[in-house]
Amino acid sequence: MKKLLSLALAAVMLLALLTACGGGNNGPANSGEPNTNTDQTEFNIISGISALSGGYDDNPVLNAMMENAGIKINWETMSDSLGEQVNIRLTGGELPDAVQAVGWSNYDLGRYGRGGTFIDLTPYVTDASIMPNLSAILEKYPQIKAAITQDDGKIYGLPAAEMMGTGATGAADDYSIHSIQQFSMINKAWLDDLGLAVPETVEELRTALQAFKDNDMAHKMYGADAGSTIPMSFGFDQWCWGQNIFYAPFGLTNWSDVCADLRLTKDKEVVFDCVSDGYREAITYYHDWYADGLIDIEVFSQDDKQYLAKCAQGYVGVATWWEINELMADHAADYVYLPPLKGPDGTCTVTIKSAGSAVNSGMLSITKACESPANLLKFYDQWYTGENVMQLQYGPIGVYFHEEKDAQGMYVSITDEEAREKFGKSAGELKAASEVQGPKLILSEYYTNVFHMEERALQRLDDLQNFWFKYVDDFTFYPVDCVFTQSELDDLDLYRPDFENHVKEQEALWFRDGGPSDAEWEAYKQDLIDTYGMNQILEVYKNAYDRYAAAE
Amino acid sequence: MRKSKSTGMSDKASDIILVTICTVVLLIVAYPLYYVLIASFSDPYDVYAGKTFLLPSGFTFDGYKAVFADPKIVSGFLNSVKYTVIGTIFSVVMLYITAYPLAQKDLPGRKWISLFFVFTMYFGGGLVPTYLVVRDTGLMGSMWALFLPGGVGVGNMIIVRNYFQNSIPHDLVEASEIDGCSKFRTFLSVVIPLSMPILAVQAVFAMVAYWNDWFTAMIYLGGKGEPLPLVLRGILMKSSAASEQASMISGGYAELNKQTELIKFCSMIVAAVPMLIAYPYVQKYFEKGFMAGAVKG
Repeated sequence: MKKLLSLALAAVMLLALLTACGGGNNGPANSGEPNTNTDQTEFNIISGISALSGGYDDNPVLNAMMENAGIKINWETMSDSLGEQVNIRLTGGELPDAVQAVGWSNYDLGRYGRGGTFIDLTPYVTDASIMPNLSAILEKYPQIKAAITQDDGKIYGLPAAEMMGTGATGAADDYSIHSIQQFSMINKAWLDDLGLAVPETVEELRTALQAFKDNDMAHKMYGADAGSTIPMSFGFDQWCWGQNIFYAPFGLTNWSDVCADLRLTKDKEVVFDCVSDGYREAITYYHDWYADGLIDIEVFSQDDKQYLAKCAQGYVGVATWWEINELMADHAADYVYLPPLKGPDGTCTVTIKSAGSAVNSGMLSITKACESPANLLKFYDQWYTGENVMQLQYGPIGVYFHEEKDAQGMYVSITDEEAREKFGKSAGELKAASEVQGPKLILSEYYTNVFHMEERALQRLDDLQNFWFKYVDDFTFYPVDCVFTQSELDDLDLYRPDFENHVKEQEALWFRDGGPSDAEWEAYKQDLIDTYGMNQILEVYKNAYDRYAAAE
Repeated sequence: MRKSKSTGMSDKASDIILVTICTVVLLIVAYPLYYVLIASFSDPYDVYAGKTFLLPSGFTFDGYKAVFADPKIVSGFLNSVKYTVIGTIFSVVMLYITAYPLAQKDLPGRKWISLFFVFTMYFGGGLVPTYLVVRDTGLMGSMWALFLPGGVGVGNMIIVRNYFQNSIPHDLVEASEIDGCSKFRTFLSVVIPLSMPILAVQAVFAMVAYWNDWFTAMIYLGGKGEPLPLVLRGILMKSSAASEQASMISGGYAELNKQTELIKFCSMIVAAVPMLIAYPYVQKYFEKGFMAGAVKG
């Protein structure tokens, strides 16, 4: 129902857009000079908010920043369906002074920007007298400025990102915390009981799974009902619980990044994994496991709740998730990471992804209704210091962070026990209650000189660097900050959804029913080119990458 | 109207078959509802693992506790009752006062007025224009924004009009006029009592629609006077926000996620029960209307 409504809404928006475009640009001209008007000191802002938050009116961090900037903000906050509601308001011409935390796509930004609803922020973000902090950051990191600049050379939103990568631990190379999004794991206690070692090749894993099944390990070890053992489970092509890590023995890990199955090779060539021979082999190979009942029959249909339920009950021998504890609950101690496997010919290729630490500019835009953008942007400039953004992200010093810094001069966050004792809620809930959603740019350097990263994130980065990266030979990845022109965005909009859906559907069909014959395989590849615009999509990503590489 | 003595055996057989079929149909219809009911008392992971079939597994009131702990639940319930009662009366009245005139063959311009109504079935302004109209007429934040924009359900209006035309005997209306009824009195004392079945159907349609409506309330009420579905939705959002946060910070996603799932089942029950209770009271009118066998010959 909600989907229907949003679809209907999208259709309506499209119509409204067409008529709006016809009217031409009737907003104030976006000149290159900042508007120096400083009359307006009271602003209305629509913002997203966590459902757990009590509102922004009493937020000490925001209020202090407002006082510094000499302005007052009337917050109108919404915790869900924000995009829908704001779209209605903007199209209806009922403009607040700024829109915060909607998460506009570049496509939306360009649309509202060219239509004159959002103003160009370029002259402000480069002006050190209005935005000293942000302009310094953009000076230091030109790639951030490049990532938020639209193809018409204008900036319609302030930058936001959470650069929680390996760089934040002091490592020389910065890789996203999501570089390898699925960690595979296996029940070591079951292996020990059966006298098996942790598998290193796909064939060894097959033997282990067969043994799990034959001996009904969940029944034997955990006293579950007879026959409830599921040797291996995952969610087909899901993000952190997909099967893609298991394709490594066949030369690919086709996890979804900027586009499903897209990969930048070592030689900087843009290719699609879903037409490679390894991909075909992998699907054909794993179909046998599926047919033999080694793989959960529900992999195509289950949702993450059902998956969590199965794993927590101790039914599953091999699974994927982004850590062991959360998935395996009470049985977590029995599981160990299952390293990427070697194929029949010794192949083991794990590719890494860049998504996750991307800079986006959809979190704050100023509308043409705002008379004095400079006043408002002085307020937002204060978001761009480590200490402030930390408090906006997690909670004020004195609430989420201890007042005293530690020996390294960094802020220390409250522990879960302390949070429960002092505030009666978990640290996560405490964060949600005091978090402010908006243009928060958390640079990786803040994790080494302002505050400590969360334990579990650190743990994951540690796992990545010390375990999973051992299996990565080539660290090339398609940069997520590539900027696309409007016509490229249109092309992607036209082809990508159908292309991705078709590939995924076909992959699932072959996985379930057996791999393609030669004729089917050729027909599939031809179809992707003829009907699904694979070459056009490749062209877009290739051109965008070439421009990106040239700029570096 | 056969009496059942003579062919006892075959009657018994058909009874058995009919009762069996009816029971099976009843089970098919009722089981999903029953399933949600027991799921709302069970450990959600047991539910997903298929451990609940006839009895709850890992009996718990946690879901209901979480739902009823929210102070807005009472006001949400009262608001929903208010919107449903007023909305139902309003929409039935609107149906009657549009459908009855259109059912009169001597109404001038009847064809064009009908066309005008039907036109709106096929061409709607869409959400944004409707929003603009509601805003510019000053209805924002008022409960009338829920009723007025879609006041006349044209499809239903046509059904009611046809009912007036076809199922209310013209002779009877004539007879009442001969007996001295004014047009208005005829409408009140003859047409309305005779059209009870269709009235009941339309009332049920309207009642269910207003009871379940959350989208219009979300768009137009601006957070004031939230009806029950919006309140329940809010509770669910909070719970799922908490588990997402747990996933990122403190751990325990799986545990909080359970709570969210449990709340889903509980809110289904909380939202459905009042309708289930109200339904039988309306249902009796479905038959009542048919008793008016006033035409003779």
